[in-house]
Amino acid sequence: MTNQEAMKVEIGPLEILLVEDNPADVRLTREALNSDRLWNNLGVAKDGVEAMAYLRREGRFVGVTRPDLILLDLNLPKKDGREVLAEVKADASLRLIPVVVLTTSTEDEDIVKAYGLHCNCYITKPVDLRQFLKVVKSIEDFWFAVVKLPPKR
Amino acid sequence: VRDRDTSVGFGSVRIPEDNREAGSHIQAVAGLTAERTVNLAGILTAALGLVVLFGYHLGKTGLVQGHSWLSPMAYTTAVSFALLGGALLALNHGWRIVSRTAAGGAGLLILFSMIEHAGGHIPDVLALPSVLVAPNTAFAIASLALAMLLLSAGSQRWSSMVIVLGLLAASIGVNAFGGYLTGLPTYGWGMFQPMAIHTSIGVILLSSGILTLSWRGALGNEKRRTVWLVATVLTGGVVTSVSFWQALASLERVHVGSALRARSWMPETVLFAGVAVTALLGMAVHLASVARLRTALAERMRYRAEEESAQRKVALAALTASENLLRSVIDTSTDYIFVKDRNLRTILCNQTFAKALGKPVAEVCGKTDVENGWGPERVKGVPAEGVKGREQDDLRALAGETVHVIDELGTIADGIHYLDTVKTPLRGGGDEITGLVGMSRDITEQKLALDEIRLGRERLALAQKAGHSGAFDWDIRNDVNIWTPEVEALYGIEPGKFGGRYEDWEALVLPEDLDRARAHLQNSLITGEFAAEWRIRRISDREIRWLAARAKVFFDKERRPIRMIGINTDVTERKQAGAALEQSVRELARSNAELQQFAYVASHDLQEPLRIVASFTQLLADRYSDKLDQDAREFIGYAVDGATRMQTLIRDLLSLSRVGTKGKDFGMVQFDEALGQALKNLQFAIRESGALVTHDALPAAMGDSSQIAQVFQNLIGNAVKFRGAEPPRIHVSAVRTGDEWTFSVRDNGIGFEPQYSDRIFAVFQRLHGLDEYAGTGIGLAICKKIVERHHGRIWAESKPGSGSTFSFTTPTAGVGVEQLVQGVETA
Repeated sequence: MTNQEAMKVEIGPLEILLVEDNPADVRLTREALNSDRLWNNLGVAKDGVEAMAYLRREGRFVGVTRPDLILLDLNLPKKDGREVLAEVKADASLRLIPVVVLTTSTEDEDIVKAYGLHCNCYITKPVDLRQFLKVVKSIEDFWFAVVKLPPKR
Repeated sequence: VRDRDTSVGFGSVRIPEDNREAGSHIQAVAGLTAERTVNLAGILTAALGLVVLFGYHLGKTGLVQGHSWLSPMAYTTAVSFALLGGALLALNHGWRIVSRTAAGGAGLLILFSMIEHAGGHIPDVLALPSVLVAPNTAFAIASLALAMLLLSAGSQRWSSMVIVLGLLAASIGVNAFGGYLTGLPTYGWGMFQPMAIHTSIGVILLSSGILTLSWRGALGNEKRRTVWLVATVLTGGVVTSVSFWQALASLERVHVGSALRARSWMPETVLFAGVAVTALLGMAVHLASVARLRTALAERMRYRAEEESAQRKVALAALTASENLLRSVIDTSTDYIFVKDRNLRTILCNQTFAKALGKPVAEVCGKTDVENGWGPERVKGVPAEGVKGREQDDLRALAGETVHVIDELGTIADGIHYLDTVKTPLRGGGDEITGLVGMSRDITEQKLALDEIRLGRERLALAQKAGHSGAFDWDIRNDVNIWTPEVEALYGIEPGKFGGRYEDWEALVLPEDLDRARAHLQNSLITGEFAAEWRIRRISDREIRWLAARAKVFFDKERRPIRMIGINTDVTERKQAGAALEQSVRELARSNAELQQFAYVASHDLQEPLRIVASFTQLLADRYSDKLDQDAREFIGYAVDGATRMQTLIRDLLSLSRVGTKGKDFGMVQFDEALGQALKNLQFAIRESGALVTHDALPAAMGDSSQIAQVFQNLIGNAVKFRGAEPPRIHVSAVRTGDEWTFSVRDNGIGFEPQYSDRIFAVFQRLHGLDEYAGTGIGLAICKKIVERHHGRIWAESKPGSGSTFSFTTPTAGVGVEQLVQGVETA
């Protein structure tokens, strides 16, 4: 067992919420995280409304575990990623959850705005598959191995 | 001035003030002496009379007779003396009744005595010893009593009589007294009883008192003094002559009676001589008095003449002063002032008038207007052409009319002037018209100013018409709004038909705009500035028009609005044009937003599916590589490559569109700095290719520095990319021609066929296969777009194998218009 793996064991399985409307991207992300299937648990919300319901454990999300990390796409149906980000960071019970904006947009405007809304990091989805897989992997490693997260409640 | 005093005689000749004062002083002193003299005479006489009466009653003949050989004083005489002495004292003290009664009593006693002398008999009622007195005594006492009565009457009329009576008595007394002294029998008349010596003293005292009183009365009057003197001389002389004549005659009778001597004519000779001497003396006194009077009169006349001359001098000085005043007054005026006589000759004028003619005042006077150089046609008029001359106005004034001529044309030294003239008749002492007085005011400047105002008003009217504007002037307190006809035209009202009240205006405003217009108006009454727009339905054609108003509000001291002046303008066309412009701007903004949206869609939504395609194709290749044959792997390779290339194309297209939408505002660009930035971005490619980049000194000009750097980067990047066998040699130069800079990037690369020099700037146009040189063919298109945004041109010159030169220009001066366009695009 590597050091990293030891740490993962220590803190238990990681709860990740992926907010993404494109099933292909959901699948790709799941592919990237698959190698560590034992250590993480991926929840998916297809739009902003669902994401908020998931986070507040409402409707069909009653009983879900509160995520340790949110992967948030910006362009979503119903309620887009910026609104979700704003609501999360305005909610005292949710604002401690790190939010990683994962989007195709390279617009300066989007980047500035996302950080302005207190996202924890902004990552552009690479076009190349291998790059993409590497990025997702590094997100996982960074947030669950490197970073000290707030304690679970 | 006539001398009114020449016909006046002596009597009223006035003594000059100072002389009169001296005279009155002398008079006062003389008066005092006279009063004492009279009192003394009165007291002495009364005392004499009373002493004699005592003598009679006590039987002391010494008191009555003095000495035995002297004549006694008659009893009646003594009573008369007592009475007359008292009368004289009373007279001196102004007790006239007492004086009159006493004098009357004395006179009555003497009358009784005279009646007895004449043989009559008076009954002896009073039981007096004897009423008989000497005839000369009786005569003297009668005269004195009469004189006293006349004096007590207080009238000046009898003053001469008083003098004569007083002198008669005095002469008789003096003669009698003289007779006793000389021994001549002048104390009695012939064989009659003589006057006693103390009687004569009493008579002298009384008569001297009377004469003193009458002298005192004559003191203030020259003529009476003369009369007094002459009468004194004459009476004294005659009485004395008669006395001597009688005395001598009685002596002669005594001697003739004793026959000692023959009768001589001596007494008569003495009488005549005495009378003659008296007459001569009287005449001499009279002449002397007259001469004295004449001298006094001449003195007074001389004094009068001197006084008059002094007065005349004063009057002359006053006249001169008054003339100077008149001259100063008229010379002070800037109006033309003139006086003409009945012959229309100027007889008086002021400096202003003379100056207008360019002559001294003295030369102007005495001449008619024509002689003074005014144009005859202006003076006389041209009756044939119906032109009225100035002379007609003069004649009307001479006929008694006040003439007011406005806008009279006058030729003054420097040209034609407009005058405002008033002419009035000048009247002499007898109210007859002797000439005319005229006053002309030069109103040329006012008139020209007025013409200017009138012209300005016309211009304003024209301007108002041209600008679809009109002016209004609203008297807020009285609610009277005056509109020019232009404003009325804006509202479609007939000229002059606007009511002028606030309600009249409100009625014209479109109801839906009224509240807004009213609010603006209310606000302006506080701020002082009115600016508002509202719609009206034009009365004339029922068309809806937009009106704009701009006005200024005027306030009184308490800052209450009193007046509003401003203009109304029909802004309908402008409004419509504005609306159209607003529409275009809105459309432009929308199309801009759409473009932005498109750019975003291109960058995100279009790339998304491509990424998915590429990713899953790759995933397919990775996961199933052992199950795929060579062909399948090659096909997958093309698919991935195509998707990737399309992503690049989309990204390039996006960056091209961003040249316009994301460009920054222009600032001063240091072109060498921009070049430096480009070289820094290209440093790896340059180092890898071994390229050598040189450049001239580059200027500064207005532009977007990051875009200029982009141009340099693309051009130098191309030069490196399309290099030949040799290491690239690249030179950047700048040349100024006129008001633009030409920048050139020259290389020693592969070059291209000249016919493609335009095509290479088109989007996605490439001259080489993808396998030879990578790239989408967007670089030069971006360069072109940037240069055009900077109002420059870009072109390329090349031949295959001999390198290429890419040039672009920018204006030397900054571009202001660009910023405006920029502003519209980002709006």
